[in-house]
This record gives sequence, C-alpha cells and structure tokens, in this order.
Amino acid sequence: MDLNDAEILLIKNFLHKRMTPAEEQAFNARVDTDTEFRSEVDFYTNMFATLRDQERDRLKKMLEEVEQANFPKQSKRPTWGKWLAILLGLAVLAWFLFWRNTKATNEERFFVEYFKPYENTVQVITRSPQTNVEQAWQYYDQGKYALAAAQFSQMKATDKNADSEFFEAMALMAAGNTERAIPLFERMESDSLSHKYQQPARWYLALAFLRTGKLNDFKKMSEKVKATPNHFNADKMNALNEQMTGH
Amino acid sequence: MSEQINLLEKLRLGDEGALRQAYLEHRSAFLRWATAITNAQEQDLLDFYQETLIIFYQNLSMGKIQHLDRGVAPYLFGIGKKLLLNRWLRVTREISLDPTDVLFLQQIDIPSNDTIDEEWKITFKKAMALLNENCRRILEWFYYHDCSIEVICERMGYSSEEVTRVTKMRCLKKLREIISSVHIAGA
Repeated sequence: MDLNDAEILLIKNFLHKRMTPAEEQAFNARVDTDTEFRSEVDFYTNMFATLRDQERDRLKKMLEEVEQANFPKQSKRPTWGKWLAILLGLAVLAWFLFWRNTKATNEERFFVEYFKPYENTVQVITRSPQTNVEQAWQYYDQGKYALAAAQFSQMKATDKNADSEFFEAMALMAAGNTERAIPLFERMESDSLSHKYQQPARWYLALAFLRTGKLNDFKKMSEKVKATPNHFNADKMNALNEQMTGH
Repeated sequence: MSEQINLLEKLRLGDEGALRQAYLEHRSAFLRWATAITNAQEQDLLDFYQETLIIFYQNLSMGKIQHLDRGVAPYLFGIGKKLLLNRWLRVTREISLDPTDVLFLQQIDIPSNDTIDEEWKITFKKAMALLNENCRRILEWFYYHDCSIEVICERMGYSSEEVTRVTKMRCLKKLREIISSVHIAGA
C-alpha cells in the first residue's frame, strides 16, 4: 500500500503522540477496519520503536563512557598477580600451620611418652590424714595434683623443705601447670645449691621445656642431664634426643 | 540561569555534548534522591539515572517538552518518579505526590514497554545496517526525529524538497525489500 503524504503525517502524529482525542478516535477506527492501513501502521510502529531502542542503546553507551571517564571504578577483582600473591600467601600459611602443628604434636607425644610423675618416696600415706602435710601427700598419691600443689604451696609458708618444694613443682607439672613449675625446678637444679632433688629437677625441667616448646632450653638442659655424673635418667635422655633428631 | 537556558537549547537541538554536561551536573543530586527511596545497588542506580536522562533528552529533542518552567531538575526527577511508579526499581519509601505533582507527571511522556517481536527488531537492524548512510539518516530523521522534508533537504544539501521526498521513498522501498529478503533468508 502506498501511503500519501497526509496518511504519512497522520501516522507520524500517532507515533509522536500528537493527536487530539478526536483524531485518535478516527485513526483507531480506520486501523480497526482497514487491514492494509493497519499493516502499514504496524510497520511504522515497529520501525519507530526499534529506532528508539537503537538510539537509546547508543546514548546509554555514551553515558556509561562519561561515567567511567569521570568516576572511574577501581576494579574489585584482583589481577592475576594479586591472585598469585594470595595463593602463595595461603600456601606459606598452610605450610606454617602444618609445621607448627606437627612439631607441637611430636613434642607433646615425646612428653607424654617420657613424663611420669616422680614417685612419693617421702611420706607414708595414712588412711585418714590428720595434718595438711599428710593431706598433701595423699592428694599427690591419689593423682589429685592440683590439690596437692596447693597444699604443698601452703606448707612452704610454715615448713619449707626440699621435699615439699620439689613435690610442689612436680604436682604443678603433673597438673599441667608447667610454666609455674619451671622456675621452681630451675632453682633446684642449680649447681650452686646442691639440692637434694637436683638430678630429677634437671630431668623434669628438660621435659617442662620440651612441653612448653622452649627447644633451645630443652637442648641445654638435656646436655646438662647427660653431663650429670650417674644421672638416673641419662639413658632415657639419650633415647629421647635420638627420637627427636629422628623427626 | 542563562547557562541553564543555553544548555537546554543545546539539548533541544540534539547536542550530545550538552547531554554529557547535563549528566555530570545532575548526577550527584539525582543519585542522592534515588538512594534515599530505593535500596538498589550502585550500578542499578546509575542505570536508572542514565535511563532517566536519556528519556529527558529524547523528549526534549523530539519536541515533547515545550516549557521547562520548573527547570531541568524537577523534570528529571519527575521522569524518575514516573519510572519508579512503573516499577523500574523497587522503592523502599513511598513516593510522595501532591496534586500539582500528579498534573506535572501526567505531562511527562515516558516510552511504554512495547511488545515488538525481538526477531523483527533484529531483522530491522540488519536491514538498516545494509542501507547506505544517506538512506539511514533520512529515515531516522524523518520517522524517528520527526524532521520535516524541508529540514532534511537542507541538511542533506539536496536540490529540492521533491528530490528529498523521492529519495526518502526509494530508501523506504529499499528497506522493505531488504527486510523481506533478510526475513526469507532467515526463515
């Protein structure tokens, strides 16, 4: 269908929404009855909408460029270099955690294997303890080391002796309070003091260092144990050293 | 104020440099307003602002806005409100409208969601791309930008309006032929 100029103008007015209500009514009536005209209107309507979309897309792209040029966004996505650095960092962290965990596990394992609380060779245990001293020994023999440590500590105030001092440290260590046991053992193992429990103090101090991860101190103390003439646990210390160097 | 009038005149004439300028001038205030009434993400807000400004620009350059007594900003925000009322973005606060607002918004034209077949659009775009540059311009100016034959004649430098009219008819005929052939080839 060839449209004349007036019909083209009519369709343009329709597309640009410039019709009066009366014009619109007449236009719609013709669209409803004249199929050829309706087909033409459809064609121009589609053309108009598609041109509008094309124009809109072009302008949108232009405004996006204006936005990017004036308000550039920093890429939140890491570059390949950043990814590599992140991966390397994670690998180092994983290795460190594995190493620390394994190391701690080995030290703990050796400690458990070699640590045994020193036997009470001092006090005969009575069925019903009458004094604090008896109570402390009873706790110790019953494996109630925290209670025993507390009792031995109280005894120091009134009756400080080598036994209570050593077994307080021993009870603390057996109760898991190794850090507090260390200074007590250090005093007892000193060469200048010739403490009654110097030999066992050195052994247990070495184990205390092992348990707390102070490996240099452990090494020094283990040498001291081995250098102590006729040390009762020199062989065990050698075995422990061999086991440790094997790992 | 004269700068604003100058900018509006340029926009009305389809100056895209003026559109860039308007984008930067109103961006901050528009985004602040849109942020306050929606919970949209930054990119969605930017899309919303760009869509609003494009409608404003198209309406202005197509002669749909004759008077901007209230200035550019209220009209922009008006388009924004109308788009939000049409659920362009989800709003978290109710959009306040007084009677003058309602009247004002009624005058603002925003494109309706057309139901044109996507396949037809693709075919049309392909056909337009196959036309020569002059034909594309003439059809776009005449049908979309609503330019008169007289204006097109002047822009294209044709010898007469009749030559322009005939050229336009030939371009339209060519377009229809390409659409038919593309449609047949694609079928």
